[in-house]
Amino acid sequence: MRHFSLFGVLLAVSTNAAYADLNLLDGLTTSLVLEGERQFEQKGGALDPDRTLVPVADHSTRGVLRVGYSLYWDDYSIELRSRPSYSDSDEAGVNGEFQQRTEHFSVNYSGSLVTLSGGVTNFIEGAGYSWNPSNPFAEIRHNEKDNASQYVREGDPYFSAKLDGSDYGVRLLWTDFKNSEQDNQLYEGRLNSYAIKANFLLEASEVSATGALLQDKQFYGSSVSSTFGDQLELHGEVGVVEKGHSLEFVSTDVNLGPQTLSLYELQREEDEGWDTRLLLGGQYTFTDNTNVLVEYLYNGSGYSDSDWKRYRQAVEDASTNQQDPVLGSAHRGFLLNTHSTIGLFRQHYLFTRVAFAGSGDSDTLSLLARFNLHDESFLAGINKVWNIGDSWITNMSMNGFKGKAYSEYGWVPYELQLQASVEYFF
Amino acid sequence: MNRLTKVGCLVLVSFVLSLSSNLAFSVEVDATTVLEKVDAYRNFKGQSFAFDLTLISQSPNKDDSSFGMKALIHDSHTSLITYETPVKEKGKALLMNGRNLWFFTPKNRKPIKITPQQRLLGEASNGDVASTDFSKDYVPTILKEEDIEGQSYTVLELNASEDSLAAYKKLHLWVSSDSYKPFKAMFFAPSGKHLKTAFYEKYETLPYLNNKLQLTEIRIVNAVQEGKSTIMRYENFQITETQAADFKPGKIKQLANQQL
Repeated sequence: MRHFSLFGVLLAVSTNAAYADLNLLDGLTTSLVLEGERQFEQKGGALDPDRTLVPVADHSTRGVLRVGYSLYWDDYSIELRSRPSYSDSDEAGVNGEFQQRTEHFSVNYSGSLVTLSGGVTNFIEGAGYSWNPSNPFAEIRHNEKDNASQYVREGDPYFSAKLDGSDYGVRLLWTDFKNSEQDNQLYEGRLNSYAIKANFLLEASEVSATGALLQDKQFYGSSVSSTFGDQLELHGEVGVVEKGHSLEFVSTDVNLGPQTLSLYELQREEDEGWDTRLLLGGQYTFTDNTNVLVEYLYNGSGYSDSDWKRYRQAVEDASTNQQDPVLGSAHRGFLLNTHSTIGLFRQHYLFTRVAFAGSGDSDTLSLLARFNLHDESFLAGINKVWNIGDSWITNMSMNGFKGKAYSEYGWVPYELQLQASVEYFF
Repeated sequence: MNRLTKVGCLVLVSFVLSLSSNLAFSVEVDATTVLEKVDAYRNFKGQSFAFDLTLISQSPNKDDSSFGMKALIHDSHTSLITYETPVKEKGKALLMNGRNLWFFTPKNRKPIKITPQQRLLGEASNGDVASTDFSKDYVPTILKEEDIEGQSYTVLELNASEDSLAAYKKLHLWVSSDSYKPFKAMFFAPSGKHLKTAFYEKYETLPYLNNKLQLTEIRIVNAVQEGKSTIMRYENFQITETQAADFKPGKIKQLANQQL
């Protein structure tokens, strides 16, 4: 809310004639979004066949005020992106919730060589579309909704200093990075982190290298993107991170007198070694402006086939015995934890998107899909944008999740999500 | 053939070869000179400059859509175009640095790498807007002289030079033979297919820039889909001072502010 206070002061100052030469309202952009979502439960998944563990809110509606503001004077600037919102039903089925998120707020000094910047922000960087493994501060994105959410999460405190040359840049960064809910199972709270990133611009390529210390974990990443001719762009990203901890699947036998039952847990454990994450992709634009993008994702921290076999067995056992009077609650806890790790469960994925029409054009239609190459489960989506007049944009999208009883996307609580929104720009 | 005759023949052949090569050189120089004079109506001789741009996209059975933009041109391959109107487009930006192109929207914050093929709007590509310098990207040859409605035009064929960042592989350009103003251009795909035709329709004197005569309106007509066209209207030209180092994804917002 402190950002809003500052925002209010700036607006008040803008009415002062003494500042008439500095038009404080020029950098203001606002829009009001009304969006609704309808979800349909997925049945038949072995993780939660009766939908008793993770109830699915069948609908939700939300009103969001998007506020963007930037003010520049001499070498200094202030930037803000914030979004107060009100939901009548969130995903957990809670009614009437007001949220205020500040995605970005920064005070900046930009000299001829050095840029200093401090505030809060989301770190969204990298050449990949569906995932950015070269970014140490990228969250795991399970679906397109997460892909969109990364842009609107509450920003993390940061301070950075950047040196810019004609074809290179070097950035030093400190941030108190907050993990996603999933990663929180590995590290609780915030990670006091430092990073150095260098990037180079060549005539048809952009290359970056990143080194970071995420509290006590080392991270190294690199990203490259190259254009070939007018229609083809290829990109790749790699990140290696010191494990430090890992979320281990543990099975413990519990002796209950006449019988012995297995108890399953996802335990945070000390671990040595490194995890590798990789993305390789490319996009091709046809002469009618249709754009096709394909990306392969390798998640080194995902379950291998042998680990998956054990894990699957545990899920089956826990699901069957979740009503057990003694261990039922432990089983349900294990299954709930499993829910929260759905996304990049396994190691090999393929993402593809086809977009008709292009950047800056009026109406776009896009189709997308992500395949788990291990179990052939997938998510598929369609999104259509309509521009109406100068001030309105409407958007409709549909995401479907499909897979067998023991497959990653077969375990997603909903099999179909329908979303519609209308946005008015002031 | 005696020795004297042989020497005579050699001198004659050398003379003819020398003459023909001089003639060829002379034609090439003429085409290059014509193209430089054409470019003088479109840019400011190596200086960075900025202008306001209005794009009006026209399609059959649809209302015209109009977009207001600001363009900052460091050179023909380094530029930033920001959207100003309508209000829902405000803040979007297209950054070009060599063959690297990024599209930025305030909603996403992350600049998205795009291919040069991805067009700016309607019939206008990024190259149409930002490339104001044919000479750097194309090798010109004179095709023919042609009269249209009593006006004489030199028709140039421009072929993209090797490793150039030209937006098109080939184009034919009609240039007024007396004033060197570009009149129209036909743009071709690598396959030879006629993609679009540009008509250079309006020139204005800029009193605040030493009365320079500047091209201020282009109409681009889609050669494939009948009735689709885009008008590009240029205003408020300014000479600016820019640094190539500023034309990077991380500096889009800062750079865009320089245009205000």
